[in-house]
Amino acid sequence: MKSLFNYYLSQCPMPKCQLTKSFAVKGDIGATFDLLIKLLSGYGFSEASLTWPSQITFLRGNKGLFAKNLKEVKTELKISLNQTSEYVNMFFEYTLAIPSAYLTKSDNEIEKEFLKIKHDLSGTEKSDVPTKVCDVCFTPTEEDKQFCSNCGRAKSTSKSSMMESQAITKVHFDTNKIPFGNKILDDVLYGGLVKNSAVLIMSPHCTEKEIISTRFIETGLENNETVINISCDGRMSQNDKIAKNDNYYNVVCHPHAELEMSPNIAKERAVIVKGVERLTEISVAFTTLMNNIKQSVDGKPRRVVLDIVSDVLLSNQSINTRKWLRETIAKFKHGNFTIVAIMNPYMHSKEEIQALLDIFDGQIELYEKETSSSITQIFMRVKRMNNTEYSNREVSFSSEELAAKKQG
Amino acid sequence: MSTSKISSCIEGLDVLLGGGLPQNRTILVAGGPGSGKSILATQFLTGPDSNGVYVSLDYSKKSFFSDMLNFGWDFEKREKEGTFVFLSGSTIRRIPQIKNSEDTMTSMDELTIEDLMDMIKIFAEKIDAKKVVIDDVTSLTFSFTDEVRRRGAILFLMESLNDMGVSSLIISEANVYGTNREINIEEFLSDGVIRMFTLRDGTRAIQVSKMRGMPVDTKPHPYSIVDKTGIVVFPDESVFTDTASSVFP
Repeated sequence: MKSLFNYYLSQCPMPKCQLTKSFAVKGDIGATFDLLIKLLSGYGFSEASLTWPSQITFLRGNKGLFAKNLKEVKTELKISLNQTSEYVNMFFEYTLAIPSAYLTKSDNEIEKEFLKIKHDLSGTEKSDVPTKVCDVCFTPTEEDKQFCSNCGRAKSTSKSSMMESQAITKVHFDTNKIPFGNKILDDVLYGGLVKNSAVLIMSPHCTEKEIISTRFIETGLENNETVINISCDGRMSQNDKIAKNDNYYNVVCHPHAELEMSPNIAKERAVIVKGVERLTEISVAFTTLMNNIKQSVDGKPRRVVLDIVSDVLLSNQSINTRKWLRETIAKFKHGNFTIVAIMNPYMHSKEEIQALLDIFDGQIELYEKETSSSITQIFMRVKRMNNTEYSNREVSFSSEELAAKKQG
Repeated sequence: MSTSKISSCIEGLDVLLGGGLPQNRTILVAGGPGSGKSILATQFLTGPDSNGVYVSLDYSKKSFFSDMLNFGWDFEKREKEGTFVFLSGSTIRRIPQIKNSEDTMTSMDELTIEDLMDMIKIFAEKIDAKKVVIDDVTSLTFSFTDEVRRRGAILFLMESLNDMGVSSLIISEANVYGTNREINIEEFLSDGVIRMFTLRDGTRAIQVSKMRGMPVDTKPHPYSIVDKTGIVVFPDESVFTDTASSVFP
């Protein structure tokens, strides 16, 4: 008889109710996303699917009316995140296998749990963060305004979609970070690179690497920062938008560099070194250039793309390359530069690579991998980043995705 | 008692020297051909309060004036102003006439160090010189095949310059790098030694290897010869070479 009862029960449709919540926290989307996963696993939720760092679906419980507590209730929680300026807007969509009447109870456990999650995520510190978010675009809005300042829509009075927001303390938003300008990269780096740090990108020759370095340069120039690009060819100077910018400087280490240099780059912003074999000459060229820049611009962050590491290592022994890199990085850091160095690991032995790694504050790896559908795709992982939080998640991207500018 | 210092007039070199060259001392500038020894020594005669005598046995006055004008140094003008004297080989050959002696000299072989020093003294007093450059000591002492006589001649030259109350640079042609290099006697006798290298890959490096009574940076550092400027030393830069240990003993 019992088994027959269970059979009938299983055939009955489970009750279902839906509930939406939203709130904004001050922080970085990548960091918030990773924190959410850690946090919700403590509430008994498990990941069902995710699109890092914008969407995640959790599942919990498998019972309906006969659940003894909230954790046993079959629950699907879909969380969407988006970044607007320095705020991360989160939209929670609960689907629960309980009657909707339960939610009308003022002391229902869902509301209590949600407030707890929000509290855990936000910390306890009150601040001057706007207390409401728009239920259409999630932009934090001022209490007394009738319309959202971002989308212009009339503000809803629905309690479920207008939640109090608090300053986030656990998800740090570092306004001093230097953004790459690539959404994917900035998301895994929780906003970008630490100012005045030196990071090594290890990548095979691929379009993605080119896009990353180009966007890093473009973003710096868009922010009116001084940018020095050090390369073995003058290809970047063919980009008129970059070459014509007065804040862009190009050091080209090639015996016939002048043939590749675009006439759009002014002579005083183009430095030619006849190759990568004479490290002393390169160092002197850097110092001379930096002294000239020092006289014109001051105070703002500066960027360097050092795209000659592999060539230098091939032409000089690792001991000399290490010594030279140490001095070069120290010199640029002293000059208020944030350094992105690029190296192709497939050109060197493991020992040679190991000799250079500890010079850098961080390491990002790009690598090719075959997906399940036998398509080779570029993946990326932040392997190390000193003195800052980051996501060590492996992310895949197409060059189109990578080129997408970080919004907001 | 700390030694008084004067600027070398060379950008960056004073940093290696801990402020400048020791005043009223004789410093040796040693280097291979094309390393820029003459430029460095000439640059030493620029700057304020640099009344000086330049002694060259091989350089013609005309070439000297013309070459140094490329760096923006108009020594012809300074000669007319009475702040500079260039003593070339041809002038030195007329030393006896200038000294009102009845002797005549027809070849360099007959030139004595004593004659030369008398000559320098006459002109140095005439223009109230503070600095003297001798380019180069190798030619002057070439005739001394005997090591003891050569040592004596160099010692006399250096002591005479110091007694004159001038700050002096004397140039020496030397192979200045490699573990097997011969250390010339003038390096032992001078108050200081500045060595100039051109490495195999063309990198130029300068090293203050000796400076009596003064703490100095003895590491080699790169330098450049720049148009309209002269020699520029990069005191914060290192010299990178694959054979660093053998090049700089």
